[in-house]
Amino acid sequence: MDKYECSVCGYIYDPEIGDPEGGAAAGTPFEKLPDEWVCPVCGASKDQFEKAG
Amino acid sequence: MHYIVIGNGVAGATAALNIRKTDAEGDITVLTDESRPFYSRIRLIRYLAGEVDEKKLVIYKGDWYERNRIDLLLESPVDSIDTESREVVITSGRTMKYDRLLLATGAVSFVPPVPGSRKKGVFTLRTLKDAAAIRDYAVNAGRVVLIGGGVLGLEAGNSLRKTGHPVSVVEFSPRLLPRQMDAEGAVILRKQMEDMGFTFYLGAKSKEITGGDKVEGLLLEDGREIRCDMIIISAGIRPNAGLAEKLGLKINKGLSVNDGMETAIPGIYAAGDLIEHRGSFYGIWPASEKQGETAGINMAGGDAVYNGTVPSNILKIAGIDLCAAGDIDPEGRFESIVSKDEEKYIYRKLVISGNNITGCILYGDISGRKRIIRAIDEKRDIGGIKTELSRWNTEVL
Ligand SMILES: Cc1cc2nc3c(=O)[nH]c(=O)nc-3n(C[C@H](O)[C@H](O)[C@H](O)COP(=O)(O)OP(=O)(O)OC[C@H]3O[C@@H](n4cnc5c(N)ncnc54)[C@H](O)[C@@H]3O)c2cc1C
Ligand SMILES: [Zn+2]
Repeated sequence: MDKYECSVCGYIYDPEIGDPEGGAAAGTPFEKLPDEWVCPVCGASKDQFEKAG
Repeated sequence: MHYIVIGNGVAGATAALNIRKTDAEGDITVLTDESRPFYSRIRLIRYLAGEVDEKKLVIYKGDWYERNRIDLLLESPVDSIDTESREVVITSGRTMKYDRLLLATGAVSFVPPVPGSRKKGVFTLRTLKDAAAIRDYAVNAGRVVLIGGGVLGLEAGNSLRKTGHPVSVVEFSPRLLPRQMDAEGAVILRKQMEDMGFTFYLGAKSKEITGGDKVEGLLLEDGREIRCDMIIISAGIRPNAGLAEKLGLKINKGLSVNDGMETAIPGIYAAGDLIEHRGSFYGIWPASEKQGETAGINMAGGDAVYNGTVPSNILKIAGIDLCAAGDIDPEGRFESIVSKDEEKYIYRKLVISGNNITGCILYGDISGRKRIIRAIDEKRDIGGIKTELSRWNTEVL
């Protein structure tokens, strides 16, 4: 599973950790996050994430 | 259909994307006076500290605009708008016709009327150009003074502290982060930041920036003078409303729009740091993004509604966890649940009005942040769980 980086603030979404507070259980791949999910640090939308290289 | 978007920040870029998602055919032009495609202002803080380079700041690169068939014109400041002929006039003299227009011109740094603010070595921080100028000048500078102890001032100050500059912060209010902290929490924060090496002048009013051609210091109203080589003014922002004013639109805290992001002129929409919605002026990224989305959908004939955003800020300084949202009630007019541990730099407060949480300060421990903000947003009835909350069990939210 790929990690994704928020291009607004640099936060890394790690699917193994997920974002439990934001409603994404550990193990949720980035692609499966709901459209309304936003960056837990800066509030940017999924559109502004890119695959972490 | 030709859509023109003025401004290529988060509001403008998001609007353009949502126009394209709603209308596959129309022509979309985005005009910006800047020389770079859409980049992150939030990351300018890291850029200042030398932790990310310019390339890393860019969010949507040239190929993104191509893929979405959006024409981006860099270095094309709009000078005026003719609503009769529905034309935009770019400073170069070039004109362009529009059917729908978005004003997304953002905000500008507010510079208080302190004599000497035009001297070399005095900066504000809003754009990449500003940040690059600060970085360049800092190479040969020692002490830095920040005028303004809000989030931006503390974060920018921290970046320069990390690059080896002694940093002083001058704040007019008697406490740090006046919009995110109450007096009790701010005392603890001050201590933590002093331990990191910051110097603070609180309840202090700037009188004059001293020096000849270049900055040599800052004189305070109380007579003290802080010697320094560089001053960054971070005294808040104002809507960048020049174009809107030329159109005769009314500006209060910002340019007023309705829930559909429409201004009083048919066919002209507005979003982002420029605007005021239901009496609120936000000045934050997630609000600007949501407004841009709403405006874009509606410009293309959709039917989106913006319901407001819970204002929230996170202080992005490594080693300090701090988030404030909603009404932080600094005067202590409302009921609250407070937990505090000065030694561990922890101060948390939930502001409660009736059976709703209306705001919070989370410092030193930001667990439960999302749940709390959601509860504020949804006006959740917490009547039955106050006892749990008073033990800071936020799982119940
Ligand atoms: C250093 C810094 C850190 C920040 N940190 C945070 C944070 O942690 N969290 C948060 O939520 N927010 C933060 N913000 C605020 C956030 O960046 C803004 O809320 C957001 O950028 C507003 O987006 P916008 O599109 O409305 O305006 P802007 O991003 O200001 O974009 C407006 C654009 O319009 C252009 N423009 C203006 N007039 C014209 C004209 N006449 N013709 C052509 N172009 C024009 C401007 O040059 C600019 O490029 C920060 C801001 C800064 C500067
Ligand atoms: Zn982010």
